Amino acid sequence: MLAAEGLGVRLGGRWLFRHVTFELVAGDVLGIFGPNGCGKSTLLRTLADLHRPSEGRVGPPESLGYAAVDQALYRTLTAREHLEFARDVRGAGRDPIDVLAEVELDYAADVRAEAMSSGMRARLRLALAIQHAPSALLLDEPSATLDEAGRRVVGRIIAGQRQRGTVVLATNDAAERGWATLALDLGEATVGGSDRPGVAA
Amino acid sequence: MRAVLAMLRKEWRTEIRAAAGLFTAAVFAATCVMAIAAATFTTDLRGDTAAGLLWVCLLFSAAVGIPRRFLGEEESGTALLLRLMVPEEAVYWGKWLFSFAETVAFSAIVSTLFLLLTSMSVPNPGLFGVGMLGSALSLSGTTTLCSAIAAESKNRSGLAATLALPLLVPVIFFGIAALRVALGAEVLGPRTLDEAWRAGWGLVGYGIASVAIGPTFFAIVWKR
Repeated sequence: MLAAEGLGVRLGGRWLFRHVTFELVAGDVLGIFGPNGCGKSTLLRTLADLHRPSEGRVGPPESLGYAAVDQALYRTLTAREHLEFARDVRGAGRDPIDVLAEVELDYAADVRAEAMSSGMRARLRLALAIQHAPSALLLDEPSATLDEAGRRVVGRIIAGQRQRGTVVLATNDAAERGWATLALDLGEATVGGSDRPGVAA
Repeated sequence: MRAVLAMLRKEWRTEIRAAAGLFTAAVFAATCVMAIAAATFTTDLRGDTAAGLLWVCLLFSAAVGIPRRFLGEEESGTALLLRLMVPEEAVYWGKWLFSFAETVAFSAIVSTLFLLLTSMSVPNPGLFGVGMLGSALSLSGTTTLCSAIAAESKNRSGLAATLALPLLVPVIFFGIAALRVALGAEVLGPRTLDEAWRAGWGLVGYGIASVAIGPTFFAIVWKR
């Protein structure tokens, strides 16, 4: 459902990672670990077709959801308007209020993004990522700005996603590591030498 | 079509609520017209001079919109959301439609204000209408495309202006050739009037061509 074959990205004259190969099936949760700067977020963006790989290829999923801690939102649009926009441009997706209820943000449906806390914005990003029930869900530090209740929401989303597809999770957080069923350590793959094959999950 | 309309609605909501961009363009256009009116208060404007001055107002009020098309999305980071969710053709057509609607609205306001403040009449309203339609098509098509191409660059605003210059030169020539006759410049014979109409329709054609080739260029620059 989501595959990478010999994937590598070179930025600023150095390889962030090379030879990343994996094939995920429904129910898999791939955790991408490694120190800052090793390319976790870049790998996620490459899988989401937001970044062109320097080598290798991605076997794209049928549909994709993506949520990252640094992903910007339209500051003058409300949570409901973001989700209405997403549903209309994708041509698919659940009712905005239902999705907001799933991430426990329905009480703020008519609050603009500029008036939201960082945790509320993180929940809205998650809602945008899962609204269309994607076959692959890519999450970059999904609970970085969330409280305990928010972490439980992320746990429920990942558990629900496993029923219908795959999850790829970039994190260094110990609690988030616990959600992964497979591991890819980019730090290990690059520290030993840039030409050494990466970890195959 | 649903995605294009959703993009158009999103553009409308974000532009109206942020207000700064539309407000800047409106103030710029009004100031420009008032400055011209004040400078020519005691002069009877000729059609050819008036056409040039009106075009300056139209061109610069459209230029204010260039940074708000794609450059703003890249700078605020929301381009990522568009790349993730919106089909690229819907992004282009939604942006262009908003730009066209905005240009038509500003052109109507600027030209009305210009004619009122300079006491100009329009002896050939049909030609004037064709010229204004062609101007709106050409200006919106060109500025949308330039903004999209420049959005990926490090020096976004500088590149957008540089790209727009050669693309707008034929628009300016066609536009002034049509509007000067529409505004009453001396017509020396049927040939001159025919040429003015050809310039007007040429401007419409240029506008349609710039809009039609837009998606092809956009598809190349939008994907990373």
